[in-house]
Amino acid sequence: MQRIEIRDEQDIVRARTAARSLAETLNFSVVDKTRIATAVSELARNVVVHGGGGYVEVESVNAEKRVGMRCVFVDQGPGIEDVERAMAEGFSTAGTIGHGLPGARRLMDDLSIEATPGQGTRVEIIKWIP
Amino acid sequence: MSEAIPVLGVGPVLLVSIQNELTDRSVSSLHRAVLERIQETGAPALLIDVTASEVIDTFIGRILSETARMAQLMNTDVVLVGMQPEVAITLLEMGLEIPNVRTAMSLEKGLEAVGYRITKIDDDANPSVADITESLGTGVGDAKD
Amino acid sequence: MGHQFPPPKKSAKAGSAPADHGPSFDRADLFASIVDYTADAIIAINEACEVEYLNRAAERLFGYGREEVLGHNINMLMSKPHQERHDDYVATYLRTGAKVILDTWRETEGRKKDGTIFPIELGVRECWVADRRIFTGIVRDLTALKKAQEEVARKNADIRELSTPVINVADGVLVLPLIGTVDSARARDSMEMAITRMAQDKAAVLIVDITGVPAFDTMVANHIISMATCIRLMGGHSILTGISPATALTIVGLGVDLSMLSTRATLAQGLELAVDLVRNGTTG
Ligand SMILES: Nc1ncnc2c1ncn2[C@@H]1O[C@H](COP(=O)(O)OP(=O)(O)O)[C@@H](O)[C@H]1O
Ligand SMILES: [Mg+2]
Repeated sequence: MQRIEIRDEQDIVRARTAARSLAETLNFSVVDKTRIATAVSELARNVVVHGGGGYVEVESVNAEKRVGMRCVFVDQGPGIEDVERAMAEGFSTAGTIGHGLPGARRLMDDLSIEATPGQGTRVEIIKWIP
Repeated sequence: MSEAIPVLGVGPVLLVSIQNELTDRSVSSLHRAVLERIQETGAPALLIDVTASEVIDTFIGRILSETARMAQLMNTDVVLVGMQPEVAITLLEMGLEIPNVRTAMSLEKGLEAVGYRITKIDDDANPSVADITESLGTGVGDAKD
Repeated sequence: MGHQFPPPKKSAKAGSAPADHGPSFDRADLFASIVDYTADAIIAINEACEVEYLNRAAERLFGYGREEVLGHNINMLMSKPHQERHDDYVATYLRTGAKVILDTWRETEGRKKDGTIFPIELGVRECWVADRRIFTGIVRDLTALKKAQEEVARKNADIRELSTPVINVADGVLVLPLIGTVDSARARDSMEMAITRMAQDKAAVLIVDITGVPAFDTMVANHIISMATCIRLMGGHSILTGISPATALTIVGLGVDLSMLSTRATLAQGLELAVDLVRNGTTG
């Protein structure tokens, strides 16, 4: 398991590079590698922009008969008041385009959010090798 | 600490290459860099080369769209060049389509799309500035579907 | 400049289009020039089947100079069975008024000066010029189309042999034939593969042929649209072929917007367009 601090935008590049190289060793397809790196880029940026910084843990997972990889993004920012709304297409509190969360969900096999207002946000994504 | 993206002149055409390891800030600087160069040179066309981009997320995608739109407002023809298939698939799944921007598979085709042709190619296959000439009245400007 | 085709006179029956505006001679001259220089071959004969006019495209197509054909029987431009029978066809029509070829398009053969028999599409109309009956024929060369169709038929046979669903049919042109019932996963896989192949092969055009898809529904449509969007982003072109009348109805009925692709009825036509796109370098 690899843990990468996410403080600034340089760390966004680091996070997606780390995710991509793990995806590489797990033999994901070219398209899947790109999906993973892109989702990680989105969520790492959310940690910087909305969460005020945090970290991501990148690891491979073995579950039942499947192999894949998981990334968990954690920050101690403001949390998300209405998770369902944050997941909606085009919703943004930052005046940006608001496709990050719903887009990342489509790119991955699983995306789940735990967010407590005032305490922080934890976003977990998983991609299985088909 | 963020490096600015160089805007190159290829003959009268401007060319920016989006590299993979760019930070958000250097991508953000794209707007200004491109617009300043357009103002200085009155370039008729801008090629945005994403051949080397392995990731185009919503942030980079938006900057690309905006830069293209601004350049178009300044009467500069914009062609997005060399998007990799996996990047295109991912962009689409993210819900970004970069509409209203013309596209080309290679720099050569991109130049053709804005009315220039590479007339000579050096042995090392690197077209240099002198090798770009305008092609007249060939109707190659209409590259869209 | 010596057009043999009589300029329309102001008779009751004559072509009413140029009417009585202004100096009619100029207009007649204009129309005569347009006909003379138009891309389709045009030939006019009288009731005796004598050629009264042929335009430049017709000269080029059949390989004759104008003076070699004017006044001669039109059957010199025809292939075997029609060559002998053509006079009878016309005579029968003049006697009975039964239209066989008039007012329709049909595929037949032409004969060039050097004897070459070649496929053509022929449309014949009857018109009255200064109270004389004239038959005008528009002739289109089908040689290229037939060749492409044969090519496609041959490639189609190859396609069925191959296990890989993406075929490189020509320089820069890939074909993805969708066959059978397309489920979501399969559609996504084959399209991902097709797009990736495009980049690998540096192909500028992907033809998606749906001749073999029994049920074209919104799911298939959406996959095709997504794929076309990706291809556009990459700077390539996509063409949808194999659209049967039933499929066309479905597409309209479902309100599917396919405007981002070029569409053609048959794979052969799609191939023609693709080759054109590649050759003329208008591929994004
Ligand atoms: N880590 C986070 N901490 C707090 N809020 C977040 C976080 N991630 C996302 N959000 C909220 O969810 C909204 C939608 O996020 P996203 O879909 O990425 O769009 P955008 O980043 O463009 O606003 C954000 O505007 C923000 O309000
Ligand atoms: Mg975001």
